[in-house]
Amino acid sequence: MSRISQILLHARNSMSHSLRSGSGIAFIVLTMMTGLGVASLVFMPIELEMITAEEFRDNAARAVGFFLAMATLQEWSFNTFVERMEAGDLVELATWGRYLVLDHPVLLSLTVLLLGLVLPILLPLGSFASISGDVQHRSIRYLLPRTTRTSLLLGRLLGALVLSWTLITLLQGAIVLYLGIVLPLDGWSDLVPWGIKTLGALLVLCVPYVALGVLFSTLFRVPMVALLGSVGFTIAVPVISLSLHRAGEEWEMLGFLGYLLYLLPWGYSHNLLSPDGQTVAWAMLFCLCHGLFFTIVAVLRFRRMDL
Amino acid sequence: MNRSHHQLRIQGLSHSFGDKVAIDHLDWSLPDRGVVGLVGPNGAGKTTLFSLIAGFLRVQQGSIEVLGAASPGHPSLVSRVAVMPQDAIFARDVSIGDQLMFLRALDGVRGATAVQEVVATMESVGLAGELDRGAAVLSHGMGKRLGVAQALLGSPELILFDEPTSGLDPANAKQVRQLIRELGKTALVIVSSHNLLELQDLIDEIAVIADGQMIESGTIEEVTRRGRRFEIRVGRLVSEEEAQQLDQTEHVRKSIVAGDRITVDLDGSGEGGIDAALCALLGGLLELGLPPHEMREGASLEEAYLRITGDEASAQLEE
Amino acid sequence: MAISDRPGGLTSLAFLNGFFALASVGPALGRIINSFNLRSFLQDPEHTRGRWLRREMQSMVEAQVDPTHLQWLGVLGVVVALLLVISVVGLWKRSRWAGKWCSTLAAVGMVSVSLLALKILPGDVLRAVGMDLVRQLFYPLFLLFMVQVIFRKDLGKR
Repeated sequence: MSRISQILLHARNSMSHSLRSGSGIAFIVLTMMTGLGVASLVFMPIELEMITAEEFRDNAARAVGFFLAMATLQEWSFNTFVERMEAGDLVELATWGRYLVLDHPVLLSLTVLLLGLVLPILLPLGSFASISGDVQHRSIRYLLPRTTRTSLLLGRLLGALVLSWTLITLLQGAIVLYLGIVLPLDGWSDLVPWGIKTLGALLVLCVPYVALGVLFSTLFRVPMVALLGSVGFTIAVPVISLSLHRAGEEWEMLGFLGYLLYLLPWGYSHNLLSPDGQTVAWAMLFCLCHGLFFTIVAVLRFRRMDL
Repeated sequence: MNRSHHQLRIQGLSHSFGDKVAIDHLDWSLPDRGVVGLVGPNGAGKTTLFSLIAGFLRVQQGSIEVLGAASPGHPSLVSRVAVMPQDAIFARDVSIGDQLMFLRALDGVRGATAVQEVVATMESVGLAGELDRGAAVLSHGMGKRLGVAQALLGSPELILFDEPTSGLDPANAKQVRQLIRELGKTALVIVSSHNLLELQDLIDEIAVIADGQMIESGTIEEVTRRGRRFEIRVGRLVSEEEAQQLDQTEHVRKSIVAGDRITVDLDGSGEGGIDAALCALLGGLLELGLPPHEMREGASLEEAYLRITGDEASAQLEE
Repeated sequence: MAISDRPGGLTSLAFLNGFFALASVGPALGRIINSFNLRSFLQDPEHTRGRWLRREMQSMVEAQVDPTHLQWLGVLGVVVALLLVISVVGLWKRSRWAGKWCSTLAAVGMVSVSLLALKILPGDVLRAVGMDLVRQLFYPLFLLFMVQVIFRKDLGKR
């Protein structure tokens, strides 16, 4: 049997196992409920008529601008940010904000931006047990004589990725359908292309975080430790690096530690929604390279593991 | 046994867990088929050796050549080696049948053929009724039989069984032994077990491992000194004086008496060979008024094992 | 606890059904109580105490909510909650009727309650968050898929 066939078999088996296992169902329900909850949160002000669509767009433009400033310039002060914007210092960001909020369906853009923050924390739930679960119970010993370690790991990674992609596609589909039918601020001709583009961004963003979950699954033999490790790492990287970056403003020698942010795609993932096609392409390439790097480390680790 | 090919060749193998040396410069070569027993005291390194051969553990020092492949876990070995590990359990969320079907799918066999094979194999271990159930509810013995069943699927060339009959009732143990014997006709089967009585009738070769070292290996005949040593049960207790007289008998190198049992090492190197030595022994026994009630060629595997692993009483005979 | 060969997914679904039973029973009881409040408000608006309650009743009157419909919606919610509770035991025991079919009925009931609520109740009573409705619809559809497709064999034995 060819290696590719084995990888596909492992992927299918891991997906069907995910649907039958408690952790898999928890992952599916949590991802969908959280995703729909995020969308609900974004839509609420308009649905409750707390704000008009125009006012919402204005506020959203500011919020998105601030978010992008934070992400790109790591500028934490809202006042400084507004001053710089008024001084024409941040024209590019303003263009970017307009692109997300005025040129494209604002509700969809905001939802996707928030999903980009939430999904990295949820995604390890779908892959944390892909290797550690079998290692803990040693059921992996029944598989190893019939497959190679690399095929097993790549198959499990593919299974986790496909499951995550399916969930995100369903989520995005529900949001776009809802925005098209129930809350038609924008026409289908705006919604569908932007929906597809932002879906692509989310699917690419999935790759490194799912790979990270699999990597932690090979680093720790106890699934719960692997889960805590991967989620903890995902949260700790931006928190620590941004704190260090701020500390670097006072102690210069610490400043470079802010680049720890780039251990994960946190530092550039917003570029996936950039108005500049080339920037998007680079961000996608970085995401895929990040995923590839985590996968290679996971394969190397798994091939040397005592099981 | 055909000794033209070595299906398993281990050279200078050492493995440690931290400071604890589990395998210590071990060399071992095995032919291409037959049933080989691997015995040794608890903690001797049997399971570690199995895990190294199966590729579960990374080789730290030395080399293992399996079925011509340079290392365990080599892609060319996929589906050619089967393992029944001692402590592995099947996944609990998927039915046993589906898991076995998946294992066959990995071998490249699917559909009706795979179903037939899985059902037939499960029938052979008496578990056909459990295919739709989860592994979590199987008893220890049933779990063992399931482990055996998954190792039987396909046509592996090297099969490793770690304690395959421990915890099984006599009928199932016999069934499993029969299956292993059949497998040994076409493949190399290595069985680790503490049940030496069971191994005696099952295996063609034996290896004894202690403290991570291979201290004896060879055919059953070689290890039990069959053709040189005889165990005799007489009708009454043998006195010390009679035992001394027996020691003086021609061709008798050494004898040990325990109640009504006498273990004798004969010297068959003279004219007439072992037959002449045996005649002299029987003559001597009859002269002493000790007609044999039962006589067995060779020591039992258990005694050989105890001798090899340093049991004092058996060691006396070697002096 | 006795060892079981119940897949972890069924255990998770049992817990989730329990959670959704609790989540359903609260609004359902609220609707039954509100149906009585609405009746008394319709008879004598001054009799209804509390500004917030009066406002809610007023919005229902404006939306022409029928107290009987509201009552039936509440009763249906309670029935759904009961079905979910039975399905918890059914999924736990892997029973065909209590696990598979009660879950199926409960899922259909949850969808019906959500859609009927959309039809019967005014937007501000529903808190006007339609996306929440999509979220409410997700779980019953997922439950249907799980018990009828993924666990169809596991729930078909007893």
